[in-house]
Amino acid sequence: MIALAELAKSVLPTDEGAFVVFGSLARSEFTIGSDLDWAVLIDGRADSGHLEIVQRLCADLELEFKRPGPTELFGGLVFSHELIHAIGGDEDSNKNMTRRLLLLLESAPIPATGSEAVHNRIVQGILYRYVEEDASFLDPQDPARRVPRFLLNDVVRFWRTMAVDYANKFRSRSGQGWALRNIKLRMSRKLLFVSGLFMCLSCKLLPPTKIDRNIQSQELVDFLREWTRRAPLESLALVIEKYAPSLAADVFDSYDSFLELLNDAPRRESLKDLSPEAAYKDESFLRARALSDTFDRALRKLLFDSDRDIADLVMQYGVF
Amino acid sequence: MSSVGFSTGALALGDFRRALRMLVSKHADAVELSALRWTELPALQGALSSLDLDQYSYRAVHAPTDAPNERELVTRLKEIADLGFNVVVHPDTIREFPLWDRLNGKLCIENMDSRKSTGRTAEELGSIFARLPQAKLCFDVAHARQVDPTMTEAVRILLTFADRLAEVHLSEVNSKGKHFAMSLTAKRAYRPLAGFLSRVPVILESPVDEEDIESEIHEARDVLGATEGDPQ
Repeated sequence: MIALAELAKSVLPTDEGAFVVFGSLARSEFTIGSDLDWAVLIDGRADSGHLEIVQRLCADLELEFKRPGPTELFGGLVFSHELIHAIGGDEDSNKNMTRRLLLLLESAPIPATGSEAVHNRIVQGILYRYVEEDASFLDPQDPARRVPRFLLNDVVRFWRTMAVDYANKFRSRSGQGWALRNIKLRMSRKLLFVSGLFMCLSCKLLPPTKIDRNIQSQELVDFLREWTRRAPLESLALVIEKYAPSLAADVFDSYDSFLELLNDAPRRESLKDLSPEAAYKDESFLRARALSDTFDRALRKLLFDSDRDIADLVMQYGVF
Repeated sequence: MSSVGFSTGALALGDFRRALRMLVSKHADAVELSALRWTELPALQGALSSLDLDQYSYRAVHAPTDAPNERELVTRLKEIADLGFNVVVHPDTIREFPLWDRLNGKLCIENMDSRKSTGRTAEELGSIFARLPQAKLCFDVAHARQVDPTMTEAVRILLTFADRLAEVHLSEVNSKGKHFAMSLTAKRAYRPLAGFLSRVPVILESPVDEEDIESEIHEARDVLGATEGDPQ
């Protein structure tokens, strides 16, 4: 992060640009073969010169890091207006929705001039839309006792989109990289979803202690913003510590082993090249599948069998 | 409803006498006398005891932001504070914090807009107030909205420093920090905070002509009176 801050320090526009990382670096899970997923967020006046920021960063970053993946989600300019205004509807493309949810669930500003302030402003702007426009969420008689359905629906949509895109990528990339994507979907992507799910449920599980009806939107944005500041694994740890400490070993040991596998360059490379036919005879893949089964079982237990309040909320909000 | 008035700087830049003439017989019962440049401070300070300020139940002075000598600045501001004026100071003016203790409860630290590197958020203000335990807060709503249009940061600041709130600045600013009269969206953003803002004197920083002073005060009172009850 310090090296990235050094690269960005003289190129960002004052108070209008943020250099932001997503993915494994934002989750504090960066490993040997990780891509660097980054974007320059612009929250300000349109300026054709903004493109030059990206060109300079690209040139510098490619000397040290792998390029972002081929989806073009990252490695370029992203504008706050699309992120904040286009939630749902035809204008909300797959890319826009993915960037928006990743900003909430796993993004971190590089500590360069103005970057943190601009990132914070955009994240709060997005959260404010979910809170302010969720008609059933803001109840003057009973503030902070509801789950923000607008936000929850987008979190669920994001998870299902990741799962559908996983199938699409298998087809469009002729199976290349399938096994690694399969394991990531079952581990880090699932972690992201569960963390987002608990962000929404927490409004009812752990409501803010004092809500003033005139400023309840801001207080709820503040509450959700605190959640988004943490890495997903850290948020999940808080939930498990409070509601299901006996699951800690299954959840975190399996996740640690998954990260260890990703950090083992030869094993990671072998997973990349595996076809589905060969995968179920491959020792590394089978080991990774076993880890993801343990992770999945523990998470299902957390959602349905550990705490009555959580189970009730998941049943009430998790399907419809 | 607390008192509402104008910053002389908004009305006539450094010409405080002209601004005060513009305010005579208007419904302004608070005033902030501006000396934003160091060169303007001696003239303002020299005039303070002879100005007719009877119309105003609240009086403050806005300190220069470009003083070459911090010790001399504090000495002058202390003399002004001793006359009963609150003294509004930008936090980036302060380098030697112990010097400012002399102003005791008359020192009001103003939250900054997003172009500044400190004093913009509750967290940044917290580190300043930790070194100036007696200081009050001059809450600039427009600066807070520029930092965060959702007003979440504004609420954080007001909740965190409610007991320090001594004065409010009301206007709208653009991305370059220039002040304007409040637009429709600014008023919409400020109304939910009225329960906090109306507790203390409100100084308008809208650069308006004399004929628009009364309507701007009326607009401000409308925004400040908009809540159904006090915040809990």
